[in-house]
Amino acid sequence: MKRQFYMMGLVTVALLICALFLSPGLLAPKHLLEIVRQATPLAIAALGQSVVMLTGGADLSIGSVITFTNIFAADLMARSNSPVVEAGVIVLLLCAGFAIGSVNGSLIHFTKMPPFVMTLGMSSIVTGAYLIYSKGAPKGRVSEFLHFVGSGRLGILPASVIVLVLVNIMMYFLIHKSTFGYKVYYVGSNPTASIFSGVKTSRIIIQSYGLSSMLAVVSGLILSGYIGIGSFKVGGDPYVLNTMAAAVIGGTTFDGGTGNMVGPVFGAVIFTFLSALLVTLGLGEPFKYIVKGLIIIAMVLSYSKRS
Amino acid sequence: MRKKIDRQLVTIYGVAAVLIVFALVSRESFRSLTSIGNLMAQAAPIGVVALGQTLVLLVAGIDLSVGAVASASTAIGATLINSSPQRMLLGVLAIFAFSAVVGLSNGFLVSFLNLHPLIATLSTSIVITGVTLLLLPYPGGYVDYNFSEIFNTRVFGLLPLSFVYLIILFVILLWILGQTAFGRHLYATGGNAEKARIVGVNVKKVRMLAYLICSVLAGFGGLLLSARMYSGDPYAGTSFTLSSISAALIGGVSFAGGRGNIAGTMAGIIIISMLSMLLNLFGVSPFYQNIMEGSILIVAVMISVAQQTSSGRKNV
Repeated sequence: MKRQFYMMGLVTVALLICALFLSPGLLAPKHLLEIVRQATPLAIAALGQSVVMLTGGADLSIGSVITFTNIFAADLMARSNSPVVEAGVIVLLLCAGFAIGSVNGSLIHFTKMPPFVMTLGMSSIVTGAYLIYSKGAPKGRVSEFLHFVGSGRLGILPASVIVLVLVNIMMYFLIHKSTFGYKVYYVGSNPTASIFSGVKTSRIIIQSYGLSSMLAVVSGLILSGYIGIGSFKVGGDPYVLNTMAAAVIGGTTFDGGTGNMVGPVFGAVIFTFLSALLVTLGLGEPFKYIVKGLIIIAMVLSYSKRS
Repeated sequence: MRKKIDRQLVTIYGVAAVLIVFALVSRESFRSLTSIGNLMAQAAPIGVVALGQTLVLLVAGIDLSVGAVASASTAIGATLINSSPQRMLLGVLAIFAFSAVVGLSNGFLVSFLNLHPLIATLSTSIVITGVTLLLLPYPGGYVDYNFSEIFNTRVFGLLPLSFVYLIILFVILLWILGQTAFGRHLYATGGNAEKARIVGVNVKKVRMLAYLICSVLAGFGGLLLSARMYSGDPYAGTSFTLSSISAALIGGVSFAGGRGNIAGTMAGIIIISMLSMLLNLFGVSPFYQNIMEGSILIVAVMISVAQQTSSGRKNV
């Protein structure tokens, strides 16, 4: 764990020094707050990804669940102005998220399928579902309230950042202070021992994947609030990789059992900061991909070498 | 053992045959040499990629970067290839060089740095996508018509040359896997890497080679694809990752490595191409394609894992 902590510190300092020399404007407090706001949807989804990674798995369906949320939220919310309908839509989507995750978790647990492949397949199915629903042409727009959550401010604090703080506190207590959390670590670090000591492994795995998809829905709702309309460009594949990158930068490993609920948020902010830095240097989308891939490889290597 | 594999093969080819007969009987539009030729032309690029994926699966690995490599290869083709023979040669060489570098990196990360293949190849696929976007940010470019004819020409008005190349590659790989020391080493490494190492197989080299061949074949698959489209597209090959794994698993290749063969993969390719052809023939919206691809993958893995468990093998 110490190792991860040092690596995280090292990356942060390196980035800050780069920024100081290359683009000092990025370090203005106002700008940093904006970066935290931009990082919010990624941070929330990365928390879910981390829970799944703690169990020794991975969730490749996060990106498509985010898009799914956006397409359905925008379409359903545009049909009525009543707050009841709006709340209904949000609850419905959260349930749908939990259902998608539960299917992932159950099939992974009961058929012993590799999590990567199962969630990759699920991602394709979820994509199909929203393509069919929207008939290839997404429409609608989100409600006033969601729009406020996505892009409004309370004083100087962006509303979405407040949601992030709340979600983060909840996840912190769930993973670090509850028996569920202990069991997640146990299942991830030693699946066989956890079965013999009477942990209901199936339940933990299913709930972890359910939680991951639910957090992807929350992330999707915030993104939808920010974008305001239904669009296939919300979420998608980049989120799969970005959540992994954020989790890995934040000290979560792919072997399970290592990681916490603070690192991924930090990782998401660092990652967003890095993207902003690349953009101010005039390096566009292609370089984001290249740097992202290299970061995941480098971080995974640096953690796995001696452990 | 031999007999069991044969029975499995017969079943898979049986399923493929049933699908073809079903299409022939139910849809008049399928009953023409042109549409059968179309089926083969459609199957060729993904087929080449799936053959490579099979080798990697046999050594208990997986390559999630084949889709990105194939896409990159269409982008390289569309940027470099024009009507001059030098540029054609340059384009083809660049494609093979690029995919070879990717394959060597994958192999290095997996066998020498001990990264999990899923993570290693997923990460390289991100880097490749970045490089592809640098080269060709949007679908476009033009792959010379005469060049494309090297792959698209139909022998006897039926058999596309791309499919002929697929068959040639298939026969070569069949020979390599069945008759050469490298083939036996592949199976030994995938079956039990530790035992293979003890009896003197250079496990690391075998893994390296498997990833190398897989990437180069993915590059070639992308070349076939760009010839079919006469252009490049930074995301054209994305679906190849899923379908190549599905084709191999449907064909009886084990997810845990060491079991299965490419004859099965060929049947898997026919089944997958046939299923998407049937969706077209019955006028089902292409949006259902995603759901089908995902479900096929999940079911194929489930069957593969179940077979392993029933034969007493440990899961990865």
